[in-house]
Amino acid sequence: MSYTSENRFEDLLSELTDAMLHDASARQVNTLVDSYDVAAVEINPFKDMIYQLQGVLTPQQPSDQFAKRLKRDLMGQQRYTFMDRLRYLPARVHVAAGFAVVAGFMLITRRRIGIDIDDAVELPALQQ
Amino acid sequence: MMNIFNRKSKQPNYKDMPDTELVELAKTDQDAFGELYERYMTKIYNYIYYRTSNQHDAEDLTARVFYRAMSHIENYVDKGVPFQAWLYRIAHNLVANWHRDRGRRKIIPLDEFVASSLRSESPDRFAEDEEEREQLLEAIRRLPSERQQLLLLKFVEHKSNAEIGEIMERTEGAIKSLYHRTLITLRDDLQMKQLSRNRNDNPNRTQKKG
Repeated sequence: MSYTSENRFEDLLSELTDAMLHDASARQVNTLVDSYDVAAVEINPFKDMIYQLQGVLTPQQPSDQFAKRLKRDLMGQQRYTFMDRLRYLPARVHVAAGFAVVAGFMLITRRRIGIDIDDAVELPALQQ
Repeated sequence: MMNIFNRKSKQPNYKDMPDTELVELAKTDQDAFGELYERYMTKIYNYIYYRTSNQHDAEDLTARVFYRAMSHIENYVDKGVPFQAWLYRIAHNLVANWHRDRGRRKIIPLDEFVASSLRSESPDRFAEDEEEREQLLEAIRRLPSERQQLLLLKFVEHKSNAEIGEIMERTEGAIKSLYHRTLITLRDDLQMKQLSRNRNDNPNRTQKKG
């Protein structure tokens, strides 16, 4: 497919739009137009149109309230299981929980052994 | 050992992840979907806002886009169509359904808050400028939906022709060509409107000339 003058003009329009959207200076825009060797009469109406479109089609910000509410609603759709929540706890919490479990287990075991010894001591006394 | 204590959490750092990785995670991890939401919510809202012309419907449709994306994300397979293109297609289809269901191709004035955001210049020039802007917006709304989509992606989202091509399933060359034709249509439309307004303003002069 050959590169026609129409293709060339389309390329210029695209580059010109990108330049204007990225706040190129008037000099930069003129240099770009000159590099395509297109008559000002031909390109100027498009330049004006791009400028007007740029002024009209401005980004809008949705309200904060809407953005937060929608996210909360979406996130409420799927719930983490208890195990998922445990899995994502920081490592130091995991280590501390491990120590607590071991300490608790040792405490219970010691108390149980203590009770057994006490029982063993008391038994002969009962037999008498 | 110190590393273990310094490490804050096993939760991945979603902010630095590319979309492809996030999408895979989002299939089972709601926080990953939350990050995708943060990245694209405003873009999708903007796209829908200009297609519906009012805040209420834009919010309603934006919510529907993300509900639909969330419920279908398990079926999303990256076959060369980026996630954002997939989202825009959902939005495009929902807006098309919205127009069809309500039969609303009629012109609706933009919300007051947009109009107020445009009032940046002196009050004297405001009325004239505002009229010109409203005329241009009306001309944009008269365009076929794919041309409106192209303009919004270019001017509101600042997307490149290649990105627009991915979203609209066209080649970059086709996008350039469509853009050229869109500008010509807009220019002609505005000129026609201007001519008919001039005729209405000065009917006697037109009749005398005729």
